[in-house]
Amino acid sequence: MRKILLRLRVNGAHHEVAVRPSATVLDVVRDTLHLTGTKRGCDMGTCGCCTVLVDGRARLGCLTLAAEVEGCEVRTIESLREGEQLHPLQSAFAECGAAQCGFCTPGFLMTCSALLSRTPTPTPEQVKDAISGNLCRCTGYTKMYEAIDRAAAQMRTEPAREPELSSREAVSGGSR
Amino acid sequence: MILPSFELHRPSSLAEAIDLVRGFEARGESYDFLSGGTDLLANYKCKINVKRHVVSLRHLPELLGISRDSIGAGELLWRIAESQEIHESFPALAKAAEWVASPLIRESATIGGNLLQDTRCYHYNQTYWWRVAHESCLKAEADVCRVVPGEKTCVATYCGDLAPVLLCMGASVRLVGPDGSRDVPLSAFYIDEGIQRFVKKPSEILSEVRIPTEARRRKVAYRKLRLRQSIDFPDAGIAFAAELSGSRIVNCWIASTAVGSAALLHPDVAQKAMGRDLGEPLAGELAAALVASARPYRNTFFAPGYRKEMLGVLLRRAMAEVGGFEPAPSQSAAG
Amino acid sequence: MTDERKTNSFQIVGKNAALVDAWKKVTGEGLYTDDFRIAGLLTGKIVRSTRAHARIVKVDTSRALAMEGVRAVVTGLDPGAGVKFGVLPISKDETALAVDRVKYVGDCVAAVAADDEETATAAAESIEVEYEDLEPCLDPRKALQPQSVPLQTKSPDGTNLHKAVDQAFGDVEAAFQASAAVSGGRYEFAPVTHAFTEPHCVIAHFEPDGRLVVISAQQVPHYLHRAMAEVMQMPMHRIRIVRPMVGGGFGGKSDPFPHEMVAALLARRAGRPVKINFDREDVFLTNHGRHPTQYDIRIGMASDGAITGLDAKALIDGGAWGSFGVVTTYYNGVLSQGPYKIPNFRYSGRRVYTNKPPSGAMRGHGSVNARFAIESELDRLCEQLGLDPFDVRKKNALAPNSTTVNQFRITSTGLVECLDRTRAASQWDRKFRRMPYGRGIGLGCGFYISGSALPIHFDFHPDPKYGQIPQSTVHVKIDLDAGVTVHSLAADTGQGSDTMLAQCVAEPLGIPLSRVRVRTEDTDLAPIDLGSYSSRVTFMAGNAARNAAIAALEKLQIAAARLTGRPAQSFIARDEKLIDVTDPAVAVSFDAAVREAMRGTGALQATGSYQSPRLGGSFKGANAGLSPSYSFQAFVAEVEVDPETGAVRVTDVWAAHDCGRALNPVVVQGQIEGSVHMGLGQALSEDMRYLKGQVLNANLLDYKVFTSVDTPRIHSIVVESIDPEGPFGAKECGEGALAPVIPAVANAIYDAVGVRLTSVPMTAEKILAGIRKVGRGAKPKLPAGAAR
Repeated sequence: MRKILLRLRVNGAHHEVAVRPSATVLDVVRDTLHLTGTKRGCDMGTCGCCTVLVDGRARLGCLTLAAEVEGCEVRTIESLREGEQLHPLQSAFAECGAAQCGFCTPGFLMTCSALLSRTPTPTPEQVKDAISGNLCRCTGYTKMYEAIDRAAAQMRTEPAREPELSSREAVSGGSR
Repeated sequence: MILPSFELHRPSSLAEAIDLVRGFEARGESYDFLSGGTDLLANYKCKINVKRHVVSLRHLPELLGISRDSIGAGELLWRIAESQEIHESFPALAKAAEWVASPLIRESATIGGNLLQDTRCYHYNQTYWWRVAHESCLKAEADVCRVVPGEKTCVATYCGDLAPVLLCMGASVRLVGPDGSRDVPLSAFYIDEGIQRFVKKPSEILSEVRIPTEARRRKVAYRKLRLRQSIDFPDAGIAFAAELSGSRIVNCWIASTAVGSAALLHPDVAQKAMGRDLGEPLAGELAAALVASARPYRNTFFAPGYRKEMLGVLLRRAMAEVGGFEPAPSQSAAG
Repeated sequence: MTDERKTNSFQIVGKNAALVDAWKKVTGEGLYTDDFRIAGLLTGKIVRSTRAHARIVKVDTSRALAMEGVRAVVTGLDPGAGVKFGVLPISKDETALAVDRVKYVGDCVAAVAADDEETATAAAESIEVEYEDLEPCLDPRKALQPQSVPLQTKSPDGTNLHKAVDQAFGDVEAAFQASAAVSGGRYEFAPVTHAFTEPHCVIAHFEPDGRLVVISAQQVPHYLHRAMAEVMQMPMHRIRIVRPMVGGGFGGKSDPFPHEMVAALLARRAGRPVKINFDREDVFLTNHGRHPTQYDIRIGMASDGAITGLDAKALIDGGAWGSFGVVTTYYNGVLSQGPYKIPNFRYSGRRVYTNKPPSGAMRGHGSVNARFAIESELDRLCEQLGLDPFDVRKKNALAPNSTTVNQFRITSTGLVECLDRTRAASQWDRKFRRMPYGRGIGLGCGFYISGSALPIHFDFHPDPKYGQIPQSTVHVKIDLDAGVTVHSLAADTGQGSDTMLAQCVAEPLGIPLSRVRVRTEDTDLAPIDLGSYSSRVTFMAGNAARNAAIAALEKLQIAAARLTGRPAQSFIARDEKLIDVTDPAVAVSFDAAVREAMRGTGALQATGSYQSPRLGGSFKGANAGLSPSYSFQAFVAEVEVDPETGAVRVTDVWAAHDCGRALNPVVVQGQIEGSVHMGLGQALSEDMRYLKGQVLNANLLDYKVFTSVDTPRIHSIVVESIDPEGPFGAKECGEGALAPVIPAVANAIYDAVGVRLTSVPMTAEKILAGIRKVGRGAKPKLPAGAAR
């Protein structure tokens, strides 16, 4: 099958990639761009290990065609921190023991960053619901709640991050 | 799991999409429409009924828009779940959308895709290797059903959450194809056979869901059965809608999902409620009638007997929500 | 050294510490096997059997070989592919690829390596295997009868029996005769599997000098090292095993696996590196999960609540291979010896082969199923005799420094504290038998080994007539930068063992964790450690690390003495200094001590090791279940049962676990919480389903791991009994905390709706059927004697 040329914007950088038309976002970020922080857990949309942000919304990399995110801003775990500065969610997950084996962690972090950018002060129920599409086999999710709370509190007292992502896009589902 | 190869088309208008279809039809080439991809691409990874062409509907402006009268087929489930307009006018629809699968699925999945979701079966939703080892089934590569040996029609289960609610709302779908467009009431849309599934022609695109004004008069409730409260498809689902005069039922609708190959209205059962008071014992009576008529197969997580029985519980709970009463303990569980 | 176990003045130990590799996990920068990028890497795919039991007549690989981009094809006839291996030296019955017969649907028959996944998949699908079907044996009961073709040639009497264990201590029947009550029943366990999030992945590569490098998601690199040497017929020193970050194991990555051998065979044939990365279905087909089991049990009790005897019989479905199954067969019996005094004991266990994916070790290995049966029957006896479930368990609790009837040495135990604290925290006395119909609360206790005292290879056996090589060795290297490098082969699979090693080294040396770097990923660098299974790492590798640090400290003390003229033994290490205890004003910085110690010798090297004491009796099977120490648990679960649907919602679990000393409390809590989550899956939702021997739900949609919204509030309660031999008093915390939650939920369901379930998963269907049988509203009554 001939390859198609895609122009993708990933983590703020432009990439031109030649891929099979059926390549998923997960295939491209891992195998073409070698951004291996995004994990392949079930590859069928069930575990959430492959979660990335597309225009600020959490999306399953394994069930999204790369061709469908042309013109969108794709962000992977590699872009969550700014230089040496960890995102509050990253430090909180590390400090609270919310990451054990770490394999599901990038997916959870992307899901949570999408949550907190829309809902800076989520209720415990909102947090629980928001992460219910990501599976973790190590933690029983318990330490994650503490970590998300801690990160949310820190983010509320700090200047807003992710400036290049406009709030308009984040709330309007610009993924289409 | 690598996706099999296909040619991807990304039309930017409905007319362009229909033109593509015309071409495929003329050349006799196979094709599928891709919307959210959470159903189709998962099946493709299993090499289930892969087509040569895939036409993405994600870039068609005609498939967008949410109002009380119409929801574009390309609208994402999270948007429907969070839409102020839907919340206020059709809270049960918002709920049903919010209960689909998981939050991550709802970020991609659309209402059109949910209505057209492929039927599911333990013997079918398996990898290619698995199906080979199992000598496959009627709906895939073989010509025999593995659920009901000897059966020549497919009994795979339709597991969409929105269809029963929309059925109870009297919604219809707009189908646009090379020969023009038509509106089909949802009540005449589904076919209770796992392969045919619905009356939509392969060349037609479901462009929008149309909601009649009378839907606003109906009080609707939806209940579903699943083991995990996220991710899982329903193993049974019931929507109940009523037009009430006081507590008297002027008109009512009952629709089921995940117990057959289609989401279906149950007019025979609903008929018994006309003119009666919404409460127990009517709920118990309807539940018993519904359970008696249901015939789920052994092809999903819970056993068919259990799913059948749960239909009654779900109906009573949906009726209780609409009527604002406490459901009495069911006969069956009281032993 | 003073015995620092008794002090609480630690600087590192006992304090919450982020995992030393946490930053790699939260940034996505940590490399798991599938993340390695190697030039020329080929994709390997395995051709799996489509038959449960069949002779291989012919494997036609010609079409695959002819495909462009295919670089290697191997079958069972390749050199090495038929070499028998297995994790236990006494039961090697696996081969890399099926040689002449396939034994389950999913068995590995052939494999290809190709330039890309698309080609590899197409090539694998093009391989045609001609089979001659044989009668499959799928029912473990039938496996005990003579077979037309037994699964393994060594099976006695032509049956599919793999291992039989019969043990008796005291006189169970006489004890039952004299008991106030005897209760028993049959308990049944569906197969469950680890469901770690990272699928198995392996990369094999021959370096230009012919040395084999294998990168694999492994819990026990050393066992893979041994097995790989046998299969590839290469000396161990010509093989290097690299264990990168591992996305969870839970026992499911502790065997040497066929796919690892296959990758090496393909790499040899292709002359290129080969990666085999599993799809989720492959993971289920590889399985090695908890054994489906039928467990018959009887327990006798005196009127005062004393347990008089326990009689158990297990029929254990092993699937196609041995794996850890001999151990499983013993553990199902011997681990029932705790956490209670059991004066009379009888056990008969049978593990059989069946034509299904192999069962193996899974978190809580061998103890979990028995616990459900025992703790359920104890509650039944309490009810019959009008006794309180907490009081009875407390009465029977094994005492510290005691011996069980099968001669397990019990040292530290915090069971009584676990019971007291869960009773209080859960507000048990206000709730038990007192909540409205549909709501219930239940108790379950547990007991687990802190590593197996007796290793599975004689090389490590402590008896002088065997190897006497310690089970754990740790090297510490301190160089001019005054950083401390810890070398060990203990495998961090997410449980935090690297962090534990760093703590055990940092504490004696008086340095912060930031000075310590832990290198555990490479057999070239690390001294042998038997890896991460049987909950051994904290106790064994932790002790070895501590010993290595103490040995290094001695050198620094001598250096400090040289610099100050004070006696070496007067120096303690604290706050990055060596301080004279007799005159704290005299201190040498850690850096200065290191430089002085390096004078004339170069980098400091120190070794520490751990060898379990010789324990146990001299009867057959006496070694099984011996451990230098045991953990103890008491859990309470609170549930809501929907009486109309039978659905259970667990609202809270109070989980008290005695871990000796919590070296890193936040990590201990994490282990408890994760164990509870996994145990709840076995209790309520998880079940590998089969259709004629074929796994029906080999994916995470149909195999139901609980999501966040299904998981209850988990209140972990860390109990510290301070073990006399554990590192700083620590013992295991990774496995024992799984088992108690299952009976706790079962007992809570009984409290809620009067339904006593004896099989897991306890599905809504079963509960509803139970409610129908006992009648709605049948809430059990509080026994008169238990009222408080």
